[in-house]
Amino acid sequence: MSHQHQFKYININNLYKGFADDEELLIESLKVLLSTYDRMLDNITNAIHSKNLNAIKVSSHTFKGAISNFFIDAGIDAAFTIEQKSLEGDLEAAIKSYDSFIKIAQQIKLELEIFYRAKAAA
Amino acid sequence: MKVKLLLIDDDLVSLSIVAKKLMAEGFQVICLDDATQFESVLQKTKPDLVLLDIIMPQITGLEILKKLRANYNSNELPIIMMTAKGHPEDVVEALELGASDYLTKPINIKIAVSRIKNQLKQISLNKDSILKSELEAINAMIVTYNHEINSPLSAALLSLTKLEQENPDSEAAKRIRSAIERINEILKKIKQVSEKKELQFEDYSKNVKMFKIK
Repeated sequence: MSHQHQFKYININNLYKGFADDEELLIESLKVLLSTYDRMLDNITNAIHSKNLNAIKVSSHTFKGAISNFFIDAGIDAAFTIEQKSLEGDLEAAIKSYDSFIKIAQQIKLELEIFYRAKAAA
Repeated sequence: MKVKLLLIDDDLVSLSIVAKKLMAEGFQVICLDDATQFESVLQKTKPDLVLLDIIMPQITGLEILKKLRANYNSNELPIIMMTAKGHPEDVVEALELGASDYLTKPINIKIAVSRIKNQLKQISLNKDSILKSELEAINAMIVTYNHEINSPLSAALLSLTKLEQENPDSEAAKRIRSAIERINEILKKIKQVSEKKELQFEDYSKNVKMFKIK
């Protein structure tokens, strides 16, 4: 796949990194990620709206764990920032971090969908 | 028979990836994303080892670990915690609560396999060591029988035999002969236990076993 240039956040080499060149497993795992992606984001959004620090911590941690399998550093860092703020008990900072997190997370989803569709069609 | 692993993680993506990779390595993997069900799943599936995520909603991995360790020691059920980077305090707490080992997410499958095998090997070594200690205890008990019971009984047998020979027709001689028979039975059983190369056990009561002597 030679359209790395169009991706802002995902790195194709990194996507393969955790799968030891097992493309089939990578594609299967991306399918699972994409099917649970919105729910994971909803959990973070709901936790932010309800100002529940523990729920913010757990939901951002879960998202971070999920995308860490694909080594998507921008998403990992953005989720980690929210998680860290919630761990520190700083609700205001966690809410503040959410805006930039959600933009990054949504862009990552778009990029993953493009990659997944291209691979699934191949 | 395949080694059975119970994998507990609320993150379905990691759960699915790790499970598939471990299955490819020859393990049987049972996945659980709803950690609150851990007790019933554990009872039903009886895994050889548990891989347990730490941060989960509803119940944390540390709470589960605490509950499991109240019922199973690390020889009975090794538990490897899975933790994300940036939470060293969780690792310390998990190890203090009795976690057997830990893995950092994203899970590197080669490291995971190596640590799982290490745990299972350690259990096997511990079991061998316990068996060795038990055999030593049995041997010591047999030697004690021989030394502390066999010798005085043999001496008693000699005295009774002499007494019976001196008064063969007396009323007491009948009782002496009965006592001699009983002592001979005891000596025979001690000899059987001493000479057993492979000891077999049979149930004496619900939780107590005894040597099988025929």
